[in-house]
Amino acid sequence: MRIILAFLLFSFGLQAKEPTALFMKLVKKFQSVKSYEVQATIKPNIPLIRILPVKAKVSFTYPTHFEIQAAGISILPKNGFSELPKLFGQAEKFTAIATGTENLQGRDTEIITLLPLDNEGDLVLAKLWVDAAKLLILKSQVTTRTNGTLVSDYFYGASASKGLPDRMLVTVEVKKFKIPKGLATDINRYSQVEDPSKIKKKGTIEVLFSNYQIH
Amino acid sequence: MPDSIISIRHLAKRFGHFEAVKDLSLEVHPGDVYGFLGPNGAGKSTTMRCMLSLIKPDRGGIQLFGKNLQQERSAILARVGCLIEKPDFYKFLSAYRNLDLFANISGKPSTKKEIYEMLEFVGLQGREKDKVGGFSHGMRQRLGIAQTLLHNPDLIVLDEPTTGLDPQGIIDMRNLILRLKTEQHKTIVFSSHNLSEVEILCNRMVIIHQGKNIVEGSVQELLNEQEQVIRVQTDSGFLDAALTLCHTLPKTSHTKKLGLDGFEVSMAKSDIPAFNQALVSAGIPVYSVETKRKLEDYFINLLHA
Amino acid sequence: MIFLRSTRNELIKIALKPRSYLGLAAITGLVGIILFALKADGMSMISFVTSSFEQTLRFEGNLLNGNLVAFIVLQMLIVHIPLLVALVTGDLISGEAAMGTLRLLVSKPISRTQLLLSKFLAGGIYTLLIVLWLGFLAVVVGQWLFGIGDLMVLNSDGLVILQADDVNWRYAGGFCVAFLALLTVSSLSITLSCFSDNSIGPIVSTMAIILLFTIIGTLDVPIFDPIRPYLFTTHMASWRSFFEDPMPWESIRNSIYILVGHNLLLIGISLLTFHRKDITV
Repeated sequence: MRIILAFLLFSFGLQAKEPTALFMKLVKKFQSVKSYEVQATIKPNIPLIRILPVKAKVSFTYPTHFEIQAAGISILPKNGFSELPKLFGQAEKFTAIATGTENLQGRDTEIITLLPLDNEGDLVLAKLWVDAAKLLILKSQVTTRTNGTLVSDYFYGASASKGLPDRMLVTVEVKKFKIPKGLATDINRYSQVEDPSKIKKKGTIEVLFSNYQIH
Repeated sequence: MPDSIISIRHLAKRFGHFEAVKDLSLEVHPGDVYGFLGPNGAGKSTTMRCMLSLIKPDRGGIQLFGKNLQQERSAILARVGCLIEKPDFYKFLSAYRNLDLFANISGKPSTKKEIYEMLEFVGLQGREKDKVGGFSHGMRQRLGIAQTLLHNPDLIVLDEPTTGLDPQGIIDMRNLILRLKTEQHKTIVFSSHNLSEVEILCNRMVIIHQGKNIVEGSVQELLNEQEQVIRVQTDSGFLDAALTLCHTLPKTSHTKKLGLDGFEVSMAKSDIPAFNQALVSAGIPVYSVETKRKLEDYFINLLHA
Repeated sequence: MIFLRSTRNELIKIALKPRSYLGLAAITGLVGIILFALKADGMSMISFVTSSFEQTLRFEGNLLNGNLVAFIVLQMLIVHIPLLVALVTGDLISGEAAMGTLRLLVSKPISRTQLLLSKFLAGGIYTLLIVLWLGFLAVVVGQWLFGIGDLMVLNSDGLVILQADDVNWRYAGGFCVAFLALLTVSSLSITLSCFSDNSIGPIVSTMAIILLFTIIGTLDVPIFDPIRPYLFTTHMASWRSFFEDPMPWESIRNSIYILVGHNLLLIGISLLTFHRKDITV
C-alpha cells in the first residue's frame, strides 16, 4: 500500500515537474522578446457583424503591453493579444498539469492545464496545446470570470523561433444582439436574419502577422 | 387687322347643374370700349374667364384677333392684359417684384425701367419696394392695372375694375380707361355693375341675363342718345310758366312735373342749350339742368321684359 | 424660354416666401440638437450598442465619428423631412388659388403644362436644397465636429462596419435615393395641390397618405403583402441600402424604378387635372 502511494506521489511529482518545466520554458522563450512591431491584418468573422479586413500595426513591449494602431474601426478579442503574455507574466500563480496529448496541425502536442493557486484572480482555467519539440503553443483556451472562454489557434512561420505566430485564429462566443430602437429605425426594412435561432453563436477573428521587427 | 378683336359664338358653360352661360354670342371690334352688363350671376365673369382660357367652355367657339383661342392660346394671350375680379398679388413680394414675375411670363419681359415707369403711370411711384401685403385695395387695383398694361397689350379685359374703390379711385380708373381709349386706341372690354359707368365709357355693350346675350350693340343706338331726358330745377313760383313754355316749344316732348320746383322734359341733345336759353329769356330762374341717365331704365325694362 | 422664366419665377417665390425657411430652420435646429446630444453623450450611446459584444470582443478606433453621426442624423430625420417638403410644395398650386394669383398666372401666355412643370421643377429644386442642406449639416458639419472614420452602421439585426474611404460614395448614392423619395413626396403634394383651392388641404393630405402607406407597409398583415412592394413609402428608406454589405443593387434598382414610376404617374395625373381645371377662384 505504501509502495503504491509512494509510486503515485512520485509519478505525480514527475508529472507535475514536467508540465511546469515545459511551461517555464515557454515563459523563458516569451521573455526573450522584449519588444516588437508587426503589421497585422485583422479579419473578423463574427455573426451579425460585417466588417472588411483591417490593416493595423501592432506594437508589443514586455511584459504585457500591446498597442494597436489601425486607420479605422477594428474588432479584436476582448483582451486583444495579451491573453498569453498575462499568463506568462504570472507564471508563479498557477499549477501546471499535463492533461493529455492531441495532434494539432499535424503535430503532436502536449496539453498543459493551468490551475490558479488561489481563487482571487480573474483566471478560472487555462489550457495550452504545446509542441514540446519546438516549444510552440499551437492552441490556447483561457477561461476567465469576466470574459468567458476564449479559444485561440496559432500558426507559425518565419518567426517561430521567437515563439511569434504568423497567423492567429481566435474563436469567440457572441451573445444575443439588441440595438436601441432610436438608433436603428429600419423603416419598412425587413430583417435580413430570417430565423434568429439559426444565427451562429460563435465567431472567429483571424489575425495575419507579417514583417516582424523584433527589438 | 381682323374685323373682330373678340368673336364669341354660341358659348355654353355648365357648372354641375347650374348653366352659367347658354348659347352666348358677341363681337368686339378694334378700338371698342365694350361693356358687359348684367345682374349678379348673369354669366359675365364666366364669359370673361372663358375668353382668357381660365375656364374651358362646354360648347361654342372663341376667337381673339381672328385666331382660335384653343389652338393659338399663347399667341393670343400674349396680346391680352387682364384684371379679373380682385387685384390679387403675392403679398409677401414687393410691387416691383410682383410686376416683374408676371411680366416674365406675359410674352414680353419688361426691363426694370419699364416697370418703374408703369408704377409711376399708375401713381405708385415711391412704393416700388413696398410689400403688397401693406397696400390698400385702391393701391392694389392700381398695381393690377399696371400689371395689365405692362406688356402693352392690344386687348384689355377688366372685370369690375372700380369695385371697392373710393370715389377718387373710381374717377381715376374711369379717366385711365378713357386715356387708354383715346390716347392709345386700345380695345377694352370691361364689366361693371355701375350702369352710368358703362354709359359714360363704352361705345358698345352687351347685356347678359341668365347666361344669354339679350341685347348687344352700340350704346348710342341702344339708348337713342340723341333723345335726352333732362331734369330742370327752377323756383316753385315759376314752375307753371316753365311747363307752359315747354308745351309751346316745338322740339320738346314728354314734359312731366317733378315735385314743387322741378320738371322733366325730352328733347334732342343738340336742342338743350337753346331750351335753356329760352327759359332764361322768359325770366324763369334755372338752378340746374341735369341729363337723366337712361341706361338704368333701359336695363330694368329689358330685364323685366 | 418661357418655361425657364416661369421656373425662375417659382424659385423666386419660394426663396422669398418665409414658409420656405421653416424647413431649413427646422432641419438646422434638429441636426444641431442631435449633434449636441451626440457630442455630449454619444459615447455612452455607442457603448450601449457595443455592450452586447463586449464580453468577448473589443472595438478599436474612433466609433463615434462624423460618418456615424451623419448616419444617425439621417436615420432620425429622414422620416420628418416629407412634412417640411410638403409644407412648401403642397402650396405651389393651391396656395396660388387661395391667394387669387392663379387666375393671373393661367391667363398669361404660358401653357398650363409649362406652368405646372415649372412648379414641379421648382419644387424638385427646393427638395434638392433641403436634402443638400441636410447632407451638409449631417455629413460635412458632422465630420468637422467628430472627425472622419469608419462607419458603424447600426441595424436592428447587426452591425455593418464600412471603411471611411468607402463611405462618401455611399452617402452620395444614399442622398440621391433619399432625394428621389422626397421628390415623390413633392410630386404627391403638388398633385394634391391641383385638386384643392386652399393651402392646408394638400399638406395635410400628403402627410395622411404617407402615414397611411407607412402603416400599411409596416403592418404584418398578409392581405397587404401584394401592394406593399409598390407603395412609395416602402422605398423611402431605400437610401439605407447603400450602407449594407453586400450592396443590394437589385433592391436599390427596384426602389428607383418604383419611385421614378410614382413621380411620372403623379406628374401625369397633375397635368391631366390641371388642364381640365376651371379657374373659378
